[in-house]
Amino acid sequence: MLDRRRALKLLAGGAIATTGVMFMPAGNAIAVIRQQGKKRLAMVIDLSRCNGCKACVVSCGMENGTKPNEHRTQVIQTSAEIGDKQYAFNLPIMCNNCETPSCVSVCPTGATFKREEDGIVVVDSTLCIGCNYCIQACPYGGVRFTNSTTGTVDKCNFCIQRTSRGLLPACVETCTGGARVFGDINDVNSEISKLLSQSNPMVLQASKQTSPNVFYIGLTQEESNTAFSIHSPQLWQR
Amino acid sequence: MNEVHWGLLVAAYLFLAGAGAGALFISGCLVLSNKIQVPHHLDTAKISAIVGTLLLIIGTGMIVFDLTSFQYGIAHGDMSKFFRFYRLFMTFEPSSMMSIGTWLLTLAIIFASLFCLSFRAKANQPGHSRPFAMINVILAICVASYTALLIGDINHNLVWSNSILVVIFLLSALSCGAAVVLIVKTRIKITDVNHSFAKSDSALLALELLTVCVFAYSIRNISIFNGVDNLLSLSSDAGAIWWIGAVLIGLIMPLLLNLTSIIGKTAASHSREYLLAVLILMGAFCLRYSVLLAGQYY
Repeated sequence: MLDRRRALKLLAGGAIATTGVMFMPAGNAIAVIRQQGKKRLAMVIDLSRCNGCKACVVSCGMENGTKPNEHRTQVIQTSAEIGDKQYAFNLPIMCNNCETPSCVSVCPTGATFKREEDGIVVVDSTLCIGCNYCIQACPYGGVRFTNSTTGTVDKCNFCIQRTSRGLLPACVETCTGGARVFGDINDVNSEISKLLSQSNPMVLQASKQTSPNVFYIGLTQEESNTAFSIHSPQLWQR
Repeated sequence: MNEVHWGLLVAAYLFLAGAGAGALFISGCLVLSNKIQVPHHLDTAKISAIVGTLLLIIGTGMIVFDLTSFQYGIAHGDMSKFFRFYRLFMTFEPSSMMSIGTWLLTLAIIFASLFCLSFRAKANQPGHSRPFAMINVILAICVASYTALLIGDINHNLVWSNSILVVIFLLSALSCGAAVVLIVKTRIKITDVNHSFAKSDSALLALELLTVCVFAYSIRNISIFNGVDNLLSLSSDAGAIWWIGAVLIGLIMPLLLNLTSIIGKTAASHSREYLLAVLILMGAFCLRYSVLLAGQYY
């Protein structure tokens, strides 16, 4: 028989577990990825180094041939309140190439899939029918879009054409502040791996349980829970 | 999320599939309950099955028109993109509700067509339609539920992931089916003398009104909890379509029309029956469109 004391203990345990999931720092997500031991390409973005120049946005468009109003990555300008002060900051947004992506399972043709060899989530534009189901399933607003050149869904794939040849993604190579760091988080000698262990990185919307592979340094807990969109209005730059 | 990727065409798909499934369900029930021994019920069942099948086919066409690859194929004369939708039939992805729905709708259209043919082939022995009627009733329930499950599978969406949507879409599909049957009955000049149709339709509409209000209340609470504006508030596009189109035009007005003819104990005129059916169908479309919009506006 469940007495009141035991019931309260169980309830408290459940509440702590739920809170833990809701406010899970990126550390747990990294642990999940590292347990698998495979090559896992990821990106760390240090917000204190992002100056909002948007060189990444331009180089991404040139590298991947997207139209000027279609972006695989974007730097949004947003603000947050910490205590009684309001801070403005730049937030680069892109596909998180999640470890457990919600877009893959819903695809009716298998056009969206996660590569075994490096964990990148890709869209095969020769299989995609453009039903937009993956766009609806993705909790990160606007990171998937319809490419008007192909008529199919497009997204950031960490410049797969470059990274497959050992090069860096275009956005990382052109980042003027050195804010974007890219590499294999399961390689202990990689820069990204060292950076992740030295800092306290956060992921966007950890409560969605997608285990993103894009990590942010300098993001507060409150900001990381906010549902930012690639189409969020620019606050101070036109 | 602030972009509308699923708009009128997907709403039309959800609506037509629901209305078609509802008409096939009622037609199947008429066959299974042996009411088709009466000639005018046989005609009603037969025509409703044909109309229901056509609605299913047109509805499926709507989702194909909405594919961006299809639209690209038309705009650029690219045949490989135009026919890209065949990919849906080259694979079965059990984790994808859209893939499940593709095959479900294919099966539903095949069996609905066979059901229609069974009336033609065995015109003198309508009892032979019973096995097809049974299959159609089951498939109709699956199709009507699937239209809600398709969007319900997006589990992070505050509006679409609400479980009561399955019940609402099921009830709405049934009332749409009833509206289609009413139009058929009116066309073949059958008068609802003892108000049996009006009474059952009223009960259905009242039940739907109740579930719709429960849904709106839960969306209000969910919106408050998540710190967003009420996704079904009257000031938003989705809310205006919901309250005016789905609730007022689609539920309250038909309910009042039905009740006045029951209380007045007079058979409704044909023009009034047409009006009733059109209001229900308009409301059902608005219901699906507003749900789609509300789910994409926050």
